Amino acid sequence: MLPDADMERLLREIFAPFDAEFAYAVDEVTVTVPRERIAEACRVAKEHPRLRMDYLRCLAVTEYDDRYQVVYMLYSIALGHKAMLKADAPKDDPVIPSVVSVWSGADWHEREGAELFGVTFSGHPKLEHLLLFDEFDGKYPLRKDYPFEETSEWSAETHPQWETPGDGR
Amino acid sequence: MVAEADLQTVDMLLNMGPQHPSTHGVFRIVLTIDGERIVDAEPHIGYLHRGTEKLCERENYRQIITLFDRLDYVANFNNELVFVMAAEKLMGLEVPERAQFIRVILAELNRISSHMLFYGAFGTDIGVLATPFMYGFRERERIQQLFEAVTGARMMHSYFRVGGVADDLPDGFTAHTRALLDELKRGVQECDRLLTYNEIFLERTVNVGAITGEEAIDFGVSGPVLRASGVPMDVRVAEPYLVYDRFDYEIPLGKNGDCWDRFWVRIEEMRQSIAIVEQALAMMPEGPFQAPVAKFGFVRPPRGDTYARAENPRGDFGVYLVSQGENTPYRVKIRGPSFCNLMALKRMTVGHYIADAVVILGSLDIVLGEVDR
Repeated sequence: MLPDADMERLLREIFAPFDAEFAYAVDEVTVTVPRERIAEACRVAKEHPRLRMDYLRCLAVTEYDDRYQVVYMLYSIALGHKAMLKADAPKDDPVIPSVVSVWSGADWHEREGAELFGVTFSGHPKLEHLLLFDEFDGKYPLRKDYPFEETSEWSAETHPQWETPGDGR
Repeated sequence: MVAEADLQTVDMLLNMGPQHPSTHGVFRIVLTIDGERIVDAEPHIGYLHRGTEKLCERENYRQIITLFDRLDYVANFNNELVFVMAAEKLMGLEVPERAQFIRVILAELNRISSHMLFYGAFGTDIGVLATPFMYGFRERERIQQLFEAVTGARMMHSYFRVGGVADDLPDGFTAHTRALLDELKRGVQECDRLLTYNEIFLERTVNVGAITGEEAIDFGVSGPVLRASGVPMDVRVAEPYLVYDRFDYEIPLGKNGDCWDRFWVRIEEMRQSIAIVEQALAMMPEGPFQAPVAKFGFVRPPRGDTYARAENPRGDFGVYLVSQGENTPYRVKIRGPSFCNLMALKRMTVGHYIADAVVILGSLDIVLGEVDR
């Protein structure tokens, strides 16, 4: 396992052609690359002999005020080091290339991100509903503008049809 | 045998679940079968989706611990641990040593209790109806009683806090746990001898649902399922957290990655967990059991993001936490090990018999609470 500073130097060297930005997420280096090149960057991270990030720990979508961010948490089982890749997509065009061809394990994470955030992972073989039911179309529950109120408990006011016939008590 | 060249055969769809006793919850899989052989398997999840990640954006850090209890509901301590570790990592918080030992002891006991549940359920999946369940649950019950003595609850403990644990251990905990460990050693031995080398059990599990190490890594498989394929990846060793680097224990590895190896790895892991708890009891220092922040509960991590992970009974459990400096997280992404292990299910089942699908699913030891979240 490399110390953070060495890891950063290594990543700067390898991702120099990618027009990337570097930062830290507490104890690991993050590399932000332009979204068009994220699949290519993932392929490099997996196949470069000094990185060999063969294990996708996690893939998370986050909504910020001005963009959607997809984070790829990578880990190398052989070399024991880790890093994060990040790619941003603007809100009016939330499309990110899929990385299922790099790691099969990205499949359900991307489907989940697509249905909960409405981010389209272009090139994904089957971007269907995963956790939600098929009728849940056009709404993305993890977006910040999706209200909590819609998930409130049923009561006689919100759902009059659910009111049980009274027996006078 | 008469050759029937003109005979047309059609693949049949077989729906299994969501209400099926061997799917360990509400899991559905649609099998395409050619006679008894499975040609395709399509898992459907989401029947237990409760929107935990969305709820995490509304509740404060202490309330969220209760939500994490309800993810993998047979390994509650391990789930709580990952969330509090993520918050502590973001805050740069130093946890008192005694609290770290308490966490290790409870997490490892929870691993044994979870594997004992697996032992019972897997036996039932194979077709040994009640016997393994009785043996597994006898051992599990002893551990649950200890948990009840420590936290007051048998399942949803809410015992870990950001910065430590909620309360100190009860009087006589060490002596009681030592006695428990002796009983557990005998119990694991008994369970092992009852099933592991049974002729019928071997017939049902050896070379069933095998997956190679490279394929398992590609799918993001982790935990006992990955180690059964011979990949030495255990988060306790790969990225030591708490005080795991101070103990002497082994990581059991399988060879073939089949159902039997997955079973055997878990049996051996229980022995290793007992060894860890024994050492932790001997090394546990006196002192405070929580940092001041845990008592008052004003948890406000600074702006930033972090990813914390730990080795749960089912594998690599991760939490991606984004904070904007508020008293609620901005975003929590939960990576459940069962979620990722299930992605490899299709690869494992295709080509086997229908009856083997039940065994393979059982050998993954999924908990739908963390798959659907």
